[in-house]
Amino acid sequence: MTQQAPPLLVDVFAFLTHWRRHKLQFITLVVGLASATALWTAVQALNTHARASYDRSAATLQAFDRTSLVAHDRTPISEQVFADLRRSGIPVIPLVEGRLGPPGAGVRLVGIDPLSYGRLGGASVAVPQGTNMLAFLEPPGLLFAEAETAARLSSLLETVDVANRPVIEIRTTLATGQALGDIAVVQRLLGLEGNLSRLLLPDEYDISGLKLPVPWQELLEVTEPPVRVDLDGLTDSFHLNLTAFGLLCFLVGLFIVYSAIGLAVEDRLHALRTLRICGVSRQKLLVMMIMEMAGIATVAGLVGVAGGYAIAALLLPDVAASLRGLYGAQVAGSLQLDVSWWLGGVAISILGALGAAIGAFVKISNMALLESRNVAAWRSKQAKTVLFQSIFGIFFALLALFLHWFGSGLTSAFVQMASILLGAAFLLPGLLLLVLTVGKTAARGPLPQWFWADSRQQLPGLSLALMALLLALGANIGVSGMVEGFRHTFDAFLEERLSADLYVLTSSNQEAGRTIAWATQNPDITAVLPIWDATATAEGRPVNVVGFTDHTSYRDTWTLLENTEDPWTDTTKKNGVLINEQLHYRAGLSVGETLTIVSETGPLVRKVAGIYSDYGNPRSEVRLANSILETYWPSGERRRLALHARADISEITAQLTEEVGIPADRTINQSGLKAFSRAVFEKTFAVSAALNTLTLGVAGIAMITSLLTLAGARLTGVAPLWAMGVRRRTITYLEGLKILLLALFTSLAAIPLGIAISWCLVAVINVEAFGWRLPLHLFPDQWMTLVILGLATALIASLYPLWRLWRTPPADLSKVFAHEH
Amino acid sequence: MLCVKNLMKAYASPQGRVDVLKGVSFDMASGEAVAMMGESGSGKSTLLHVIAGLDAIDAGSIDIDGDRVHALDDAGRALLRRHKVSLIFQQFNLITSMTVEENLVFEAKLAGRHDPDWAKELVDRLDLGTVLDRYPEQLSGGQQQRVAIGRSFASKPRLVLADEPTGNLDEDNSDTVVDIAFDLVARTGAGFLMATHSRRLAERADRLLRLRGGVLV
Repeated sequence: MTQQAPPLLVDVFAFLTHWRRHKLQFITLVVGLASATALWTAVQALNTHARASYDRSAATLQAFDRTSLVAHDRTPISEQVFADLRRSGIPVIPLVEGRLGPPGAGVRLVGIDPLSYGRLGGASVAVPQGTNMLAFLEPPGLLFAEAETAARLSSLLETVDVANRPVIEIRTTLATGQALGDIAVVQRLLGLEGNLSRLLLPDEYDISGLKLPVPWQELLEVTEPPVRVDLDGLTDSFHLNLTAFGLLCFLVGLFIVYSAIGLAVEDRLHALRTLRICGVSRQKLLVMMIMEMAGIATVAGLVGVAGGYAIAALLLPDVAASLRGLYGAQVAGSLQLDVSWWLGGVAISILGALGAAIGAFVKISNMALLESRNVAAWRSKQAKTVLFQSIFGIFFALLALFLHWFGSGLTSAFVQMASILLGAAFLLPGLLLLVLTVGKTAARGPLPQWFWADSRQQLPGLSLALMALLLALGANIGVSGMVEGFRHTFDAFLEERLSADLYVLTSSNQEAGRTIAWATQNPDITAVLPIWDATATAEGRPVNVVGFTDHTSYRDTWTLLENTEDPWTDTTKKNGVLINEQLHYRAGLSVGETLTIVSETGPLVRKVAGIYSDYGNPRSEVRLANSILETYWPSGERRRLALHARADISEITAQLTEEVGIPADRTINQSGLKAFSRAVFEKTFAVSAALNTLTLGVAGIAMITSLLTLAGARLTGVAPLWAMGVRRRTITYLEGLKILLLALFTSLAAIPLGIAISWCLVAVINVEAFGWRLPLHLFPDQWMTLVILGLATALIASLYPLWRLWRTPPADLSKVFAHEH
Repeated sequence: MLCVKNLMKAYASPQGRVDVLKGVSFDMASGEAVAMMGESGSGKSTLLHVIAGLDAIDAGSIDIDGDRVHALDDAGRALLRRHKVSLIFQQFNLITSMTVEENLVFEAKLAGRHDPDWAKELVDRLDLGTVLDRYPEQLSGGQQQRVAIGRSFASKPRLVLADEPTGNLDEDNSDTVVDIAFDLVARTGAGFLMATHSRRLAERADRLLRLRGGVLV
C-alpha cells in the first residue's frame, strides 16, 4: 500500500486535475490575464515615466528660472558687470546658459559658480561638495546630466579636444535635455568666455530697493521668472486619454478571462459536486478556487508585466514626441523597470481575475449537491442572460444621455464615453439574437434553417468575444474618425494660418527692429508683419497676448468661428479683441462680451470681436493690434516676424543671414513649418493608433480563445449533421460562415458606436481636455476598411478551430454517438 | 439489401492495438428487422458505424443496395448516409437549436425527399402532435427518441441503424419505441438493424445476431 497523502492535498490534487485535461483553458486564462495586464502596465509605465520626467523638469526649471538681471537686448553680459555689481553690494549670482547642438537634438547647458550658487535660497539643484567640487571646478571639469542627455552630450562633445573635454556624470535628478557644469566649463563649450547670460537674485532680495550703478542702468533690466507651465496639469488630459485606452484594453482582456473561467466552471461542475459529496466543504472549495485563481493570476501578471514593459518601450518614443510636440514637455527616452511595476502588475492581474471570477464563485457557492435535470436549458438561460444584458445596456445608454445633458468636466466626459461603450457592448447580444431570429424565420431549406438556429444557439458562447470585438472596432472607428477629421481640419487650418512665406525669430527686440527696417527696404518682400508677444491674465487665468498688424492675409484667409460684422476693423481700429476657442470655452466668453485683460500698465477692457480656432495650443490666447500691445506691454517681446515675398524663399533666407546676421536656423519657411506641424500631429496620434491596434489584437485573442474553448462542444453540435450525410467540408464552411456572419453584424453595429465615440471625442472630450471643438467628419471608406478588418480578425481567429474541425477524424466524430465499441 | 463480408476493424489505444471486429459477415433483406446483441465492448456500435460509413474499415466489404460502402470516399459515404442510411442513437442526438417539427423533417429535407403527408402521418403515429413547437430539451426521453425515430423514417431510407435506441428509456417507453420502429419498418420496407442489450426486445426482431469478441457467434 502506498503512503496516504494528507487529506488536504488529496482534495487539492483532485481539484487541480482539471487543468491536466484542459490545457487549452489554462492557456486561454493565462493569455487573457497576461494581455490585459500587459496593456494596462504599459500605459501605467508610460504615464509614470512621463510624470517623473515632468517632476525633474519642474525641479530643474525652478532651480534656474529666478528673478534675474539681464541685458535689455538679451545679449550676453560681461563678467565685468558681475564684478561691479558685487562690489556695489548687490548679491548677484552668475549664470551662463545656452544650447549645444542643433535644435531638437541639442542639450541646454547651464553653468553656475558652485560657491555662490550654493548660497542661493529656495529650490536649487544640489551643488557638488568636497573632492567632487574640485573635479567640478578644475579643468577639464565635470558636467552633470541624466542618462539619456549624458549620452547625447557625449556625442556632442566628441569634437572637443580630449584635454578640454569635461567628464560627464549621471545625475538622475536633472531634467532631460539639460546639463549642469561649472561656469568656466560651460562658457568654454558655448564660446562665451568672459560672458554671462543672467545674474540671478536671491529670493530674499528686495527688488524694490535695487539701485543699479549708473553705467549699468542703461544696459540691464530685471526679469521675473517666466510663468511656469504646469506640465502635470497641462498633460493631464493626454495621460487620462492613455489611461482610458489602457482601461479599455484591460477590460477587453478580462472578457477573455471571464469567458475562460465560465467555461472552466461549467466543465468542472460535475467534479466539484463529487468533491462536495466526498465531504469537501463549500468554504474549502471556495478557498481552493480563490487560491487557484490567485496563483494563475500571479503567473499571468508576471508575464504581463514583462510584455507591458516591451510594449511601453516600443511606444515610448512616440509618447515622448507627442508630449514634446503638444506641450513642450521633455520625456527621457529609456524606461526603468521598477519593482513597483511587478507588484502593481501582479496585483491588477489578481484583482482582474478575481473580479472576472466572482460570478463563478457565486455559482459554486450556490451549487446544489445533486445534479438536477435542467429542463429550462440553454434557451431560457439565454433569454434571461440577454434580458439582463439589455437592461444593463439601456442603463448605460441612459447614463450617457444623462451625462450629456447634465455632466461637466473631463471625468464626466470619459465616464460618458465609457457608458456609450459599455451600453453598446451589453446591447449587442440582444441585437444579434434579434437578427438571427429574423434570419431563421426567413430561412428556407434544412441547412439554412440549421445555420441560423445553430448560430443563435452558439451566441451565448461567443457573445463575450463579439462584445470585445465590438468595443475594439467601435474605439477604432471612433478614434480613427476623430484623427482623420482632425487631419482634414488641421490641414485646412495650416493652409489658413501659415499664409506668410517666411517666419523669422530674431534674438532680440533690437534685432527685430533692424530686420523690419531691412525688410521694408527690400523690393522682393511684399509685406512685413511683426508678431509681438506678451503674457497677461484675463478673467483670472493666464493668457498669451499676441499682437498683429492689420493685413489682407489675415482678413482674407482666417475663418473665425464666431465674429462681429467687421472683426478685423473692430480689433485693429476700435476696442475689439480676438480670442481663441480655448478662452471662449474656459471663460465662457462670446462675441460682444467684455473681457478685462490685466496688462503691465493696468487693466485693458475690450469687447470680443471674434473667436478663432487654435488647434494644438494648450493656452488661452488673445490677439490685439501691435500698437495696443506696445502701449500696454512695453516690455513685451517683439521678436517674431512673418514675411510675404515675391522672390525665392531660399534667396531671402540667404540675404537675411548675409545682410542682417540672422542665421538660417532662426528662419522657417511656410512649407517647412507645415511639414513640422504635420509631423507633430502624426506623432501625437501614433500612440492612439498603436493602442487601437493592440485592442483589436486582444479582441482577436478573445475570439480565438472563445472559439477554441467552444470547439470541443461544437463536435456534439455538428456530429448529428455529419451522421445525416452532410460532409465535414460543408460543415466547416458553414461554421466559418457563421463566425463571419456574427463578426459582420458586430462590425456593422460598431459603425454607429464608432460615430458616437467620434462625436464624444470631438464634441465633448476635446472641449473639456484641450478647449477646442472639432467638426464631426464621417468617413465611410474608413468604416468599410474597419468592417473588413473586423471580418479579417474573426477569420484569422477562426482559422485554427475550423482547421481542427475539418481535420477531425471520423473516429472522433463517431465517438460523439458511441457509448461503447 | 445489406451484405457484410469479413469485416475487420481495429483501433489504436494507449495499451496497444485493439481488434474490435475480427471478420464479421452477414446479410439482411429489405423490410427485415434484425437485432444484434453482445456484451459491452463486443463491437456492436463499431459495426453499426462502419456500415453507416461513419468510420472506415480495415478489411472486408459492405454493400448496401449495390453501393460498395468500403470503396467510397468521405464524400461518397456522406451521400450514402443522406440518401440510403439513417441512424438512431441512444443519446437521441437531436438538433437542440431546432423545434421538434424542424427536427422531424430535417433529414428528409436534406435528402430532398420531404413528403408533408408522410410527415403528418408520422407525427400522428408517433403521437407528437402536441409538442411540435417545443425544443428537444423540453421533452421526456421517450418523446425525444420518438422524434429521433420519426426523423429517421421521414426520409424513407433503405436502411435504419439503431444503436441502443432504448438504452436511456424505461421498459414501457422502450416497448412503445420498438413497436413504432417495427411498424414503420413494415410500412416502409426499410431494413432495420438494432444493437441492444435487451433480450426481450431483441426476441421481437425477425432475426437475432450475437456478437462476441468481434465475431458473430
